[in-house]
Amino acid sequence: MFEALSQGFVLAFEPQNLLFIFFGVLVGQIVGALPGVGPAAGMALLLPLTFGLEPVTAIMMLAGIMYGGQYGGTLTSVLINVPGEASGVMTAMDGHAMARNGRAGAALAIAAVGSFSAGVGAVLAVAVLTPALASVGLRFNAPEYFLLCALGVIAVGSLGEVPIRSLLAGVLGLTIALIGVDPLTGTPRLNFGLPSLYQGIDFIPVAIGVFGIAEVLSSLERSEKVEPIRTRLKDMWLTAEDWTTCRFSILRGGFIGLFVGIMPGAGASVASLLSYLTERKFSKHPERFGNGAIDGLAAAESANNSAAHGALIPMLSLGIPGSASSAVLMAALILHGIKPGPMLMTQESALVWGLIASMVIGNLILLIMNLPMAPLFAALLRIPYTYLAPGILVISLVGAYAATLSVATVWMCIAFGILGWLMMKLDIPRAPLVLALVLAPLMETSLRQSLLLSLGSPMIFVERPISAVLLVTVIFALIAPIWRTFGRRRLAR
Amino acid sequence: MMRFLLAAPALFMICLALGVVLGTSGLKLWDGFTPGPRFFPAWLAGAAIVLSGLLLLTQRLGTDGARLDLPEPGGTGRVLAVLAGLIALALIVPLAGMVPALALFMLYLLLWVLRAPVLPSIGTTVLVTAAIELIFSRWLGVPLPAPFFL
Repeated sequence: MFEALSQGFVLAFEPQNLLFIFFGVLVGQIVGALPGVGPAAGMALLLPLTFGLEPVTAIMMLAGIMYGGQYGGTLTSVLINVPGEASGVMTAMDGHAMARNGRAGAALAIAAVGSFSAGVGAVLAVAVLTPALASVGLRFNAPEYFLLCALGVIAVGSLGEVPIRSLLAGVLGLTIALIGVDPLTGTPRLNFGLPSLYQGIDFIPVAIGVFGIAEVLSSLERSEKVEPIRTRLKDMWLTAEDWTTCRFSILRGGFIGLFVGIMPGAGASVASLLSYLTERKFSKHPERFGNGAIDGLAAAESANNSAAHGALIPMLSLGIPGSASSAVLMAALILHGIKPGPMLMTQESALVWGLIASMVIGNLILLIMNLPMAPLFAALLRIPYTYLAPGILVISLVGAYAATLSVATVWMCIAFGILGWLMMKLDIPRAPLVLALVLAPLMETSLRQSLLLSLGSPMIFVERPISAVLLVTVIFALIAPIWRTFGRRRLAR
Repeated sequence: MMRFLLAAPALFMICLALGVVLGTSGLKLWDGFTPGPRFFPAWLAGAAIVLSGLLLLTQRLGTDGARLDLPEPGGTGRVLAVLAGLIALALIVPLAGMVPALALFMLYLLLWVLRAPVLPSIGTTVLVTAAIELIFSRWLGVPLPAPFFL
C-alpha cells in the first residue's frame, strides 16, 4: 500500500497535475462560496473542460472541486448566512452567530483547520478502506450490483424529512434514464421518435439544470439582499480555549462524517447535521448551540469535509457513488473511458492512488489558502448576486452545449432547470433524482442479467449470501422511512 | 390550492407511470427466459404508482411533513421572465450564433429583468462573453454555433 501511495504522490506532484489540483481546489472554493452553484454543479459545469486532459489529471481536478467546495461553502455560511448548499446549514447557524459577535475570523479559522484535519484523516481512510472494500467487491456479481444500486437510490429516501418524496424523486431519475434505447437489446424505448433522444438523456444537462439553473432561478426569485461582513487577517487567530474546546469535536465530526459519507446516498449534509447533534449531546454548554458554539461549528465542518472524501470509498471500490458530487466524478470517469467498480483498483491503480495522493495535497493547499486568504475570498461575495447570476446561467448553458455539441442539450438544461425549480418549491429533494439517473443503467442491466442467470427465478437474490444480506438491508431501508412517515401521526396523538 | 400543490408530485408521477406503461406497450415484458425491454419500465411504473399512493395517503393522514416554498408575488414574475429569456436564447442560438445570443441574453437579464445599472451590466456582459469565447472557443476548440451569415 505504501509503495502504491508513494507512486501516487509521484504522479500527483507532476507539474501539470499539481497545477490542475490547485485549479480544482481554487474553483471548488469559488463555486462552493457562490450561493446557487455548489460543488456538484461546479463539477458538472467544468466537466466538458476536462475532455482534452489526461484522465488522471481531469479526475484530480474534479475531485479538487468536490472537496474544495466544502471549504468554499463555509465562507458564505459564516459571512452572509447563506449556505452554498445543504451541508453548510449547520455551519451557518453557529458560524454566522460567531461572525455577528465579532469572531468571523475565528469561525473561518476553526472551519479551515477542522476541514483540513478531518479531510486528511478521511483520505487516509480512503487509502486503507478502498482496497479492502474492493476485494470484497470482486465477489460481487449481477444480483449484488442490482441490490447495491437499489440501496443507493433507496438510502437517500431513508434520510431527511420527506422520505416518500425522496423515493419518488429517485423513481423519477430512474424513469428519465429509460429514455433512449434498451441497454441489453438496443431496442428503441420511450424516445417518441425524436432523434435527439435516441442516445438517451445525458447526465450533464440534468445535473446542470436540476442543480445549477434551478438554484439560480430560486435565488433570483427572492428580492432580499444580504450584507456581507468584513473579516481581517489579524482576526483569524484562535485562542487556547478554542483549541481545547474543539479538538475532540473535530475528531468526532471526522469519524461521523467518514461513516456517513461511505453510506451511498447519505452525503455531507446528513453528516454535518448528525455530527452537530452529537456534539450538542457531548457539550457542557448545549445552550450555546445556535448562538455561536465554536465546537458545533468545528464538528459540522469536519463532518461535511470528511463525508465528501468518504463518499469516494464506495465510488472507487464498488462503483456506487455516495453523493451527488461523487456521482459527477463517476460520470467523469466513464466519460474518460474508465469503468468504475471493483476492478478499478487493479486496472487503474495509478489513477486511484494518484487521486488519493492528490487529495492530501489539495487539502494542504486549501488550508494554506483559507487561513490567510479568507478575506480575499470574502471580497468575491461583495460582487452583487445580480451580476453573478447571469454569468452562472450562460456558463452553465455553454458547458452543456460543449459536452454534446447539440443545441438540444441546451433545451434539456432549460427543461431540467424548470423541473429542479419546481422540485425546490414542492419540497422534493433533487439529489435522489441525479443519483438514480447515474445508477439506472447499471441497475437495470444487473437486474436483467441476474434473472437471466437464474432463468427468471427471483430466488437468486436470496440464495447468494452477500446478496441476501443486501436484500435485507434494501428492504429495511425501504420500509423504515415509510414506517417513520406514518408513525408521525401516532406520535402526534 | 395548497392541497393540490402538495399532491401535485404524486399526481404527476401517476401520469408519468401511465405514460411509461403506454409508451412501452409495443415492447416485450419477457423474451423467453430473459426479461425484455419493458420489464424494468413496468416495475418502475408500479413503484411510482405505489409510492404516489402512499404520498397521497400521508397527506390525507396529515403525516407528509412537506413544506411548500411558494414564491413571492414579484418572484414568480422574475422567474418567468428569466425562463422566457432562456427559451428565446435557445431559439436564437442557431441564427445569431452562441456568443452573440448569450450577450443579448445577459443584457436582457441584467437591464430588463434585474434592473441593474447600464454600465456595470455592459461590463459584466463583455467580461463573461469574452471569457466564454477565450476558454471554450479558443482554448478548448469547441465549435460554438456561429451567426448564420458567417
